Amino acid sequence: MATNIALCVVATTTALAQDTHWSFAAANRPGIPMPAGGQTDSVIDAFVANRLAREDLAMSPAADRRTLIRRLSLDLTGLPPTPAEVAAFVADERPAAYELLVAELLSRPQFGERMALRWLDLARYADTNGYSIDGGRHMWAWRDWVIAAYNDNMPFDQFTIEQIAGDLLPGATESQRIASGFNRNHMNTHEGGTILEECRVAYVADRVKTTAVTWLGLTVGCAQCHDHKYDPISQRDYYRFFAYFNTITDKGNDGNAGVNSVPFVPVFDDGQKASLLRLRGEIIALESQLLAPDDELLAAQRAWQQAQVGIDHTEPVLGPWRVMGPNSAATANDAFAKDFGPEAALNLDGKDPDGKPLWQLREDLVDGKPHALPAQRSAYYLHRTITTAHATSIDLSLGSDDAIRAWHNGALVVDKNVRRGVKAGQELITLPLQVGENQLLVKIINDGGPGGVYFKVLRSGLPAEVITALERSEVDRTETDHNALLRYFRSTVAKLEPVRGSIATANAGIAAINAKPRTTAMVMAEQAMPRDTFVLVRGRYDVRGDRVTAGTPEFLPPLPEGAPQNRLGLAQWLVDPKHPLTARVAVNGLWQMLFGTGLVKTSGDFGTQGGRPSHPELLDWLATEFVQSGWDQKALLRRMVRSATYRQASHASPELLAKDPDNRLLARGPSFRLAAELIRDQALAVSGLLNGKLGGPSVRPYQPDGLWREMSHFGSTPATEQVYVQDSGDKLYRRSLYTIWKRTVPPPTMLAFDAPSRELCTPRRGRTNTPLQALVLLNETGFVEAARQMAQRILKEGGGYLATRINFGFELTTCRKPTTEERDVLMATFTREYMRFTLDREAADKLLAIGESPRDETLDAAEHAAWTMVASVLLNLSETVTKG
Amino acid sequence: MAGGVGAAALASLNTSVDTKLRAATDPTGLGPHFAPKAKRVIYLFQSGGPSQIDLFDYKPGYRHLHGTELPDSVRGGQRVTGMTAGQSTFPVLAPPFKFARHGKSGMWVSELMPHTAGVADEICMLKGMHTEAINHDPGITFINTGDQQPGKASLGSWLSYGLGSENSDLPSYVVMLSQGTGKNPGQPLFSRLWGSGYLPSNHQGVQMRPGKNPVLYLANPDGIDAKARRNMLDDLARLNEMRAETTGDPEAATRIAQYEMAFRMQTSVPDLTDLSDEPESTFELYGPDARIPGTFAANCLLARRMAERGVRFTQLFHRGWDQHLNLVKELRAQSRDTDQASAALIIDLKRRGLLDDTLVIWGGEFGRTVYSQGRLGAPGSGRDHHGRCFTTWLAGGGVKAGFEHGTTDEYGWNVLDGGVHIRDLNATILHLLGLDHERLTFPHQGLDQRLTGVEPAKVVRQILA
Repeated sequence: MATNIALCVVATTTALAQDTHWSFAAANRPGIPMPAGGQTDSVIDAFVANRLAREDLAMSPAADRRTLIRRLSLDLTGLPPTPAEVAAFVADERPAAYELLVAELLSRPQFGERMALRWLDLARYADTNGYSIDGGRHMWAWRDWVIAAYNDNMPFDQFTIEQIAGDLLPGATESQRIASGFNRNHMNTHEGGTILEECRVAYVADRVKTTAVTWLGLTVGCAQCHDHKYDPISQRDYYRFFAYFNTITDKGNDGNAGVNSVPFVPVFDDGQKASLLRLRGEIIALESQLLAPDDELLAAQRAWQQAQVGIDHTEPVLGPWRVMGPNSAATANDAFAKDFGPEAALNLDGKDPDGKPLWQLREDLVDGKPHALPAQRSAYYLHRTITTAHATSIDLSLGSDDAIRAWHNGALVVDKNVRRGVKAGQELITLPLQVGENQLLVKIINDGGPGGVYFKVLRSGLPAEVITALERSEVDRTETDHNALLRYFRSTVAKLEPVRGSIATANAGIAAINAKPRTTAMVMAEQAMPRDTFVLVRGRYDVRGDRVTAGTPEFLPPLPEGAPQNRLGLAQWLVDPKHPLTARVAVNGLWQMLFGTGLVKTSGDFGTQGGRPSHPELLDWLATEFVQSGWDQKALLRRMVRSATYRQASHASPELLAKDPDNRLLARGPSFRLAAELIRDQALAVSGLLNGKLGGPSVRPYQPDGLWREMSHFGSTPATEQVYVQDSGDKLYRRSLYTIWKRTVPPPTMLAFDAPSRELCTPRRGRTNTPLQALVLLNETGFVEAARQMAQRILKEGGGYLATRINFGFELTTCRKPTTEERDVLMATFTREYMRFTLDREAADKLLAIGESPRDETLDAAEHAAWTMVASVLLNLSETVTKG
Repeated sequence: MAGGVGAAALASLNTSVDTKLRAATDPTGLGPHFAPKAKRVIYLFQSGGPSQIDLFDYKPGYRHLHGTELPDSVRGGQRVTGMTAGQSTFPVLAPPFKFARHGKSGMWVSELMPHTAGVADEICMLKGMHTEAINHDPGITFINTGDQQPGKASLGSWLSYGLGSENSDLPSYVVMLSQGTGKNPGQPLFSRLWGSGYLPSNHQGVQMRPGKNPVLYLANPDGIDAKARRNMLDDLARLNEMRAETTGDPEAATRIAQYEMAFRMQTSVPDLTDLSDEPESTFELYGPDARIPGTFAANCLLARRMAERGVRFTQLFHRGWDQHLNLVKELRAQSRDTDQASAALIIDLKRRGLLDDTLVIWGGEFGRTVYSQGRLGAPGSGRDHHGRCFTTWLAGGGVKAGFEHGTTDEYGWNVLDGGVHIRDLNATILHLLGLDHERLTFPHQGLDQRLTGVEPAKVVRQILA
């Protein structure tokens, strides 16, 4: 440790008003207690030693270097050290050996992958939509953003702002918009029959809950229905917070068929980005070529303008829509084929048998947006007139749900018997118009479910600005008029067709890339007309109370000066240095990762029902230090792992176990079972199978057949990810955070070790021990294969003797040498199994055939199989799955 | 040590040890709180929403209402799903099946369920079941976990947490899935339905599947037989013990116990699923499907074998009860898949003396509308979801036999009396197992969570034997 901190004794009181819950008042930087010895290397140790002294306890001695490098490597990279790294560290005599190791581990790209694990649990990241159908989605670009942000040591305030409101930052970059996907990681449904608003409200409530737990450590969900029973959060506070997340352009039922739910952005890979840049550059050059001075063309343009004089350029006039329907039929095909009257003889004054007019005037059907038609199997007719004073043509865009037919002056011009949802541009037609009144008749045939129609005029005659310019005399024309004429003429003249062709080709190239981005990512995006937010009575989506505006809870500090009243303001508020919760919660989360339990055990609940901090002054000191350091996450971790507290041996005497079973007092080093991902990644690493590729789409390692299919909607839905198709090759050996996460059927090897389903924000995982875990480690294909590959390493790298091989294997999984007694047990294992496999070659071959990776066929099968058994014992050791 | 000590669902070495372990880790809410009527539950969950109109909740008056419009006064502004919200007319569809009265109580049962009709005197029929949910995901999540939104603990995991295991070689909560021949595929299922939510994850249901590995990863890899596995586990235990002596890590001992249970499961589970010791008469009783692994009938037979072995909570999820379309054809098929085996299970448990302390439950997440989805009489028409009333039946462990509770109005739309909210059903199930639903709690997110949530729930005392 570089410097000793001079310590002073200061009375450490939390100095809170009696009626303020500790975590709701700003953290004051407490004085640092003087330990008994007068000096200590770190502030953390001063606080911990002080607390221990009060219990008549003292810290344990430092752990040995082998334990330390394993602990550190697992904590900072999620992977165990290699035997070479262990040996180098043990032999490193430099005084700063430990600090150098910490710095080196923090600089590895695996650091970001390790840190992301915790963040993905909080963000409820998954590769499927959840709820019942649980179709595929694409959010790995966001996941990769998290990994990169940790690796770049992005300050936590920026990390926060980009994820809460990256889309609202001025000139938001692609990366910042992707970051805002934090709050799109919630589940969304595409179950038929869904009531849209009910689900949309659930999504907003999920954003509120997740944001509150992740940054504030508050459980606000209760206040969705009534004022919080324990914490000072009123129902009104809740809906004011809700309002920040309620104006997104998302929908209650979306995201089917493997297409992300809106809003989402395309994400291009580096090659695509380069191509887009090049094509856009080409277009700029070509356009300047298109408009370049050219005497010949100028003369031609003048002649053309001259020829336009006296021509009537008035645009055609469209009459209002009239609608006739519904016209029922047994099937949609019948409805499509049958003439309900107007097709043969159009009579807009027709009456039904009751004398009511058949045609209804529908001025609400404005052009340019889809309109719903009633959800039933039927045909609707829509009619309007198009009147023009001169012969011209008109370009139309039509859309329909489902089938469509259209007649122009009695002639069939569209005839599509399809089943689809309505969209703009499904039918693009050009109608040559007669002088006078033209009749347009459109028939929409719906085959059940919601129906719809879309209509828009794309072009009629010359562009408006060209007509304006032509109608003016040469002298009256403005700069704009000249430009309009020039552009229009150059866009039509034959001589420039090659240039226009090149532009079209470049545009087609851009369109092709845009149509197939590397992936897409769901993001936050505000509605143009933000919807109002109301208090929902008893939390019911359809019972609205008072209207509210966005705002933060009243018992917490106000928004910082000048912060906007939107999500960006909310993000700035979260990372306001005066905020009492954000820094404490963040510091606590990292402490939990390293020590197993946070200084506040209930890391997702800092409210009045949550746990009290075990070391309140330490928590506040670290929180204030975190803010003062510029929210530097690596610096905070460095401080924690460099403390003597962290470096203690984890051995526990029976007395200490009895006094402090959960190690809240920290009289010993952290020791607990590894997280699910670390257990599998470790097996991949020590076997040499690990594929270290960073980021990219999720992968599909071994999984028993049928697990998805027997629960999914396979065969009855356009949703993707209903059946599991295992990958092969090196994708089987990626780190576990890249394993595809299906919410309704999470990866079974992860679930067995307490990984959450990722349906909801999870601030803290359980740590159980079950027989199912034993079955995974003993029998799952991937772990058996890892044992086989580890055995191969033992044979090739472990020296020529039984003892050296056992030492090598033992060190791979535990980073230490076995004791003589331990080695004797494993020697017996090997000898027994070698005998067995020698007598039963077939058994050896069978065992060695498990897993896709090839084995070195030059190795004796019986020997290889026997070492596979030894390796399996080593992978199953309690010590191996424990951070000691 | 939260959850660090191997606890209930799979871990128990015996009941007393298990209870102590749980008391040490989870001091709250443990039961039983009073003498139980039932020791175990077999829940035959019918996923998708079986039509109570066509199966159990019959009224001769439907005949006269057929084709008439469901009056607004009855509909009462009840919301309908997005699937029929656009219908301009809601014509009553009388059940297109024959009904007759059965048993001493004269219980109406559809011709689709002849075997169930045969055990009418064992059944307690709840006709006033109701729920607020009208779509599958919220509905099935609600009835199984007490909340429409994901994240809560399932009924079975609460029982595991509250009561522990009665068998040291098998899980205390087992789940089995099957797919009916009516609507295939039926609505999806999800692991949250048997998940442990905020409870320690060792209380989650263990899925048992047909095939070589009834429990995931149960079978040893090829090349490792039981003897080799035993030897290897002995070596492993010795090494773990040696290390624990140095480190004092209490988890090592727990882990050794878990490996021992895993080893025992490698024998006990195949023994459970191997039906070769069942006489021919068993298959006559349950029907020929019982020979086909993975069918509802086979799962019913396995459920009986689990009851014999003391599995606390066995839950079958049978898919395909979602008759929006093709009601006549699909419902016939669904009923044929389930009727005989459901009745057989009751008969079988009874003759083995197990029905008295085994609670059998048959029902889904909601019911179906009396009105026709699609044009009345069209062969492709069916019924939409309906939450205001539906029918669930119970049998055995502490409930009245040959008894009906609850009535609905002439349209089978609203409950008239004897309403049982799904929360009430769950409170009643816990009660029969000796648990007070208000005392069985677990602290999470600042609240003492419970299966029945924060809304009031009541035990349905009228049906207790």
